[in-house]
Amino acid sequence: MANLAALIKPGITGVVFVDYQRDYDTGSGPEKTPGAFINDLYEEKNRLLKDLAKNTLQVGIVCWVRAEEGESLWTKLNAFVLAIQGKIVADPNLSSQAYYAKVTRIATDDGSRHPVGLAVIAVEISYFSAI
Amino acid sequence: MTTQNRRDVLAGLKTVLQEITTIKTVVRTYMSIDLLNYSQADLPLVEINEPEETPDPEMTSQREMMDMNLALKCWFLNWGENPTATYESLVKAIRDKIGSNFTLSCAAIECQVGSVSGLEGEMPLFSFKITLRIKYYLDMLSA
Repeated sequence: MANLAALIKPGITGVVFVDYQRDYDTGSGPEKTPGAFINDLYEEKNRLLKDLAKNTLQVGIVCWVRAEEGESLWTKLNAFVLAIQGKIVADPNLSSQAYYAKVTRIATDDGSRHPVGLAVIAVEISYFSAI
Repeated sequence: MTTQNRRDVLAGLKTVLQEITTIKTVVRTYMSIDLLNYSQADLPLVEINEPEETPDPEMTSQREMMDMNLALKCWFLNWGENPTATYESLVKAIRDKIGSNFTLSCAAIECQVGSVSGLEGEMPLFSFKITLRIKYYLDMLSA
């Protein structure tokens, strides 16, 4: 998860804020854009041997951008989403920490209105562990 | 000739397979093996499945040949991108070992490799099957 976060910040130039989803105020605000929250949605552990398990994480990256006046919100949002997707595609084993990481779904928020746009990138991460 | 029996044939097969240095564990199973009882250090593991047997009378009421068909299932770990080399070396090791001791140390008349399956599974746990045809004599007079 830390490596996934590192792909976005400092991996993508200009990203101001990346954190894990908290149950308290993180201090994120409109001034911290573009930014992303990494949400741990679901984890599955499949035991292969007594001392070996294959783990699959489903992660939702909630990302947001803010467009200035005169800027296209969707162009900016799409660029950010593509940048994150490109980083994951370029480093699918998250610096040798995962078996694979792949983007399974991208959803942009139809309710986004200038100046703030939201998108969710669902990522599946698989890794092996000693139970 | 010496009386032969299935127990000794299967025990002989297990002994022969245990002599292969690259194989860590050999077990006899009556149903599918529960891999959760085994660790990474126990692999490669060969399970000897319960055989199917058919009698082949040679001299009625005196001597009978038994044909035994069974499958070995070999499990192994491979963390690389391509498990084919490990698969091939294990297949070769098993075939060569049985070929060099096809009587299973005189427990059987012969033991032949029938077929070898392709590779199954996904990284890092893979398996394949090898079928064996084994013949041994039952001495009906001394049974």
